[in-house]
Amino acid sequence: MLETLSEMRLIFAEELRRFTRSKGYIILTLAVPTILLVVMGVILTVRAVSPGREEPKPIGIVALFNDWAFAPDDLQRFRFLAFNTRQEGIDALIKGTVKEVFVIPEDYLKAGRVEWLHGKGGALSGLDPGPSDSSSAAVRAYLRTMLAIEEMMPELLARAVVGATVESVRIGEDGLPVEEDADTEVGTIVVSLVSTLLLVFSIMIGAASLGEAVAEEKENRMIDVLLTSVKLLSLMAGKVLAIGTAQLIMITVWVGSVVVIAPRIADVISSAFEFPIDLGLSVWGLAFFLAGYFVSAVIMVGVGALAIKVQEANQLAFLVIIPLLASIYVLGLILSNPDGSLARVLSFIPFTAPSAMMIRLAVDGASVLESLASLAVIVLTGLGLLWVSARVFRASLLMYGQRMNLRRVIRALREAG
Amino acid sequence: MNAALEIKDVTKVYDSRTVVDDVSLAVERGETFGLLGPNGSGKTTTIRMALDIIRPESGSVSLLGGMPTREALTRVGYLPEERGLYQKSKVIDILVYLGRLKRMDAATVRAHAQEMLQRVGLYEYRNKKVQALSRGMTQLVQFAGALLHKPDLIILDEPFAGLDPLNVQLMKEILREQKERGAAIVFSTHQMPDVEELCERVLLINDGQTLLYGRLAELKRARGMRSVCVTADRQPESMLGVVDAKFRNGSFEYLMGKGIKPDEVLRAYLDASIPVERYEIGMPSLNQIFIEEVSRARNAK
Repeated sequence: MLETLSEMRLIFAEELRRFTRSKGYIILTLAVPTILLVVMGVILTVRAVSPGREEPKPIGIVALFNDWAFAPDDLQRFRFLAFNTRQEGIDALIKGTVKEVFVIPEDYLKAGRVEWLHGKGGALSGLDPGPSDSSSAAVRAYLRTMLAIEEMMPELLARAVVGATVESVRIGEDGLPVEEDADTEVGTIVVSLVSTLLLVFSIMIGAASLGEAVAEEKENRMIDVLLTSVKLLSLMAGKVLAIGTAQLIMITVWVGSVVVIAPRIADVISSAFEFPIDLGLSVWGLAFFLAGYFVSAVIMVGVGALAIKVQEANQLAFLVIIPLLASIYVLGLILSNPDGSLARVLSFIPFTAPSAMMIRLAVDGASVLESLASLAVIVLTGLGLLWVSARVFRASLLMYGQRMNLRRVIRALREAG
Repeated sequence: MNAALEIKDVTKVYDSRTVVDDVSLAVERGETFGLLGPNGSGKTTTIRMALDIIRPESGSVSLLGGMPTREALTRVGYLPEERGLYQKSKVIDILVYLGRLKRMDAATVRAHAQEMLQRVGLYEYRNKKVQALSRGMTQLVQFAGALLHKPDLIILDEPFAGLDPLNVQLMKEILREQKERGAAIVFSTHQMPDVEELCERVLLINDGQTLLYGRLAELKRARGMRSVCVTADRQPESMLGVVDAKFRNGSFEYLMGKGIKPDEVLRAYLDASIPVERYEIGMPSLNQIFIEEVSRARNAK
């Protein structure tokens, strides 16, 4: 037992060293943080050069009717600047102190007319320019306030003008308010979706790499040299663990960069939601990643052993890649009905279970018992496939240089027993 | 006999075809042994059974005096026929890995690896990636890897294939050194002159069956003085009993059929009134024996 562990450790260390130093792995690992950093850089650059992002200029008000030359505190959010005369307003407009000036004439109550002074338009511009919606709303609010101020208490008046902000309260199944707000929930789902996609891609890459590594050793007969030094089990386990660890490092960098960089991007996009980190969900994610990788990895060890050349192993990787892609395809269906029978069935199919469970756990669609049962199904399937894969591996040693066909594989499997 | 490798009556069947049929051999410590046979004769399968990579249907293998356990296999150095290392790894890293797999500690294996690289003339390539090496250099690195742990038994499958004459010479020198320190060496090859140069004993197999097995000198002697070399301007138009004739280095070389005396060649020259400058009787070359035995076995089928 100790000898097997020692052999496994040697194979593990070498495979991990070789795999993590390959250019492809390094590029893939750094791809996600690099893309996120580039996106953040682009957003910051656009913000820095965009004139629309400058501090908005105030709106000039010239009230010639009934001494209205002031703005109440509650209307300060509209950024008004009051002038005593029309000429003062025009001077401020020319200096650029204000973006526009609204002149409320002495006959306003009778005529209901307001003069809009601005610098927009010109011979080459569009016809008949008008004030922006925000400016119009601001001036209307000002006028309503000024008309009513004599009759109402200022705080009632302010509330009448400003109206209300809407606060969201989600009610849970127990009838009590759920503490997280809507943004946090959306954030959790988005983070889970992104993590699931990264997880599935990572499993795909890891399993395909494993098949390629086994086929390469078979093609160059390094496997013969290795098998004169270590047991088949040590060789297989060392490889599976090493590439799994490398993929875990990759996914940690990916998810880590999403968690660290994405909120910074959200900070510069006012409408972006928060990126919550759920420790429990992360633990489940890790468990499902390991289980999902285990199943795909043992299949690809067998596939790699059966292939005569590396290219053949790469082609046969579709055996794992297609079911994993299907698991991404059905994510939308699971999300639309996480408690539905389809979601439940997919939670117990080894290829779709990791992604299905990740989404269901993110929206509270699966119990702990169900999650453990799903995990158990994946692991047990993996162990069964490991047994088959070991036989295939042993059989492949009998099939050196022989073209693969089903009859030959079955015979070799019988002989390998 | 305390043999380094002993194979007794092993048989291997693939796809209901017997690829190794009741083959036996024993290689003693300090001996260089040649495993000969045409392509597809079962040499590599025999080697793979000796190394416990595959198991025979029947028969037994004894390695360094016991079962082919993991412990015994750590004292074996193996160079497979089809060679190729991890292309993107550094030469020194691969050698250290191979040594570590043979239970050597990291410091010792690094020292041995550097020593072996110096011996095969590739020390300055130690930090280069394998993909930067030529095929011959890669082969030498793998050869160094097989000897790194100073094995008691060295098994080489077609070790000289693809190497230039200088590297073949270097490899032979290193093999002689290994033999001098007491290692048993088994190698398979198609190059009969190499076998004659290095081996004391040989096994010739064809279609998985033993054709010849024993000490090389005795095998040759047993086949009689059947090789005749004549230096003359020309040769007679017909010579009875000659199964093979070649003109090489200004002389005619004849291989006589069984039961035919070499004197018959001389008599043919005299009868044809051709002056003979030199007449020499010799033992058949291993190449002649190989061709004759394999041809005879194939014709018999």
